[in-house]
Amino acid sequence: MSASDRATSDHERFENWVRQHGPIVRWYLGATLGRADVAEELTQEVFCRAWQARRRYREQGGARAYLLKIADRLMIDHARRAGWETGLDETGWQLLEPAGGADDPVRLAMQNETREQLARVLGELSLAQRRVLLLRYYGQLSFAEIAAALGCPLNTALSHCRRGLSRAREIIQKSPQTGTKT
Amino acid sequence: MNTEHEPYESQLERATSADPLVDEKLDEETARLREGWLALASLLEEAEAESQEPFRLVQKPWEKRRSFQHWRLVGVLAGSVVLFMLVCNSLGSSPGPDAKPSGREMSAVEKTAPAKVLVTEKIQDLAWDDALDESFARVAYQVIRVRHGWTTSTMDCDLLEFRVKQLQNEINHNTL
Repeated sequence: MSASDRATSDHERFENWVRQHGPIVRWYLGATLGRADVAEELTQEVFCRAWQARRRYREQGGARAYLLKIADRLMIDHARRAGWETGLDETGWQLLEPAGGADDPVRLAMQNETREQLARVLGELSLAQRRVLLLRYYGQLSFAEIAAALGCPLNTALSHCRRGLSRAREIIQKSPQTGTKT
Repeated sequence: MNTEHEPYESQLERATSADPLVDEKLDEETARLREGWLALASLLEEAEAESQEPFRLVQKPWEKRRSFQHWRLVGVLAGSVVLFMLVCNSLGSSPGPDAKPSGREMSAVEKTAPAKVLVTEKIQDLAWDDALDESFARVAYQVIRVRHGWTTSTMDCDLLEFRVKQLQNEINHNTL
């Protein structure tokens, strides 16, 4: 394979990644941090890092998990630098995704309800619990991989998962929209 | 090897599995965890489905790299131009082989020996550098001038002494 063929192949693969996994990575970062602007900025950075490391990447069908691991590391670096652990609030979620179909008030109201409820649930979880559950949900990572990403023992990652699930269940059950959401 | 966590890991894997068939055979504890997982997943899925905004990169990384290379090239070119101007400037200001000293140095050159010309040329060489070197050059020039004056005075004294001795000899030998 010539150098130009390889470059074209890299570009194509990379553009596929951006198209397929970009929104998920942004969602993961937004849901973990609760800051749309930071999520957008970090997602850009995730793809820059992935591009820089493209020669080291081995294609095994785990592109999303790979990108989410980069995202998680960048998110933690950012949180440490900024010195905060955010709670999710309504404004954060409205910023996270601009409401589509703003001319339809019913749809808009439903969107806001979903976001509010999600914000409430995630806001009640600790950062570690959010990371475990969202890495499992978006990346379908094994618990061993999640523990490695978190830099903690497997038992600790399992414990975060168990507590996070129990807490999420409690909050959703207390919520007035429970019947429609589960 | 620690296998203590295996039952818990297996339980949580089933509770958070994407496979819907898992729901059929769960114990009470796992079913409760599964319920929490499905509720959370449902919320995430709905929120995701409602917003279909695609993600776009502000700038593609390979374009960013090219841009960086472009600026690096501009920097190198600018540096070369500055260096070239400095070299031209220094060549223009330094005295050539035919350059003549001016003012006071000129008179010094005219009056005294070739050694003096060498000294002034050295001072000129130092003078085109920076301010500190210029100060050094001025001090050195002053030192040379004082030494020269001292030497000239000594020579004058010697000459006077010589003339006095000669006069004394002539008196002694009645040849005056």
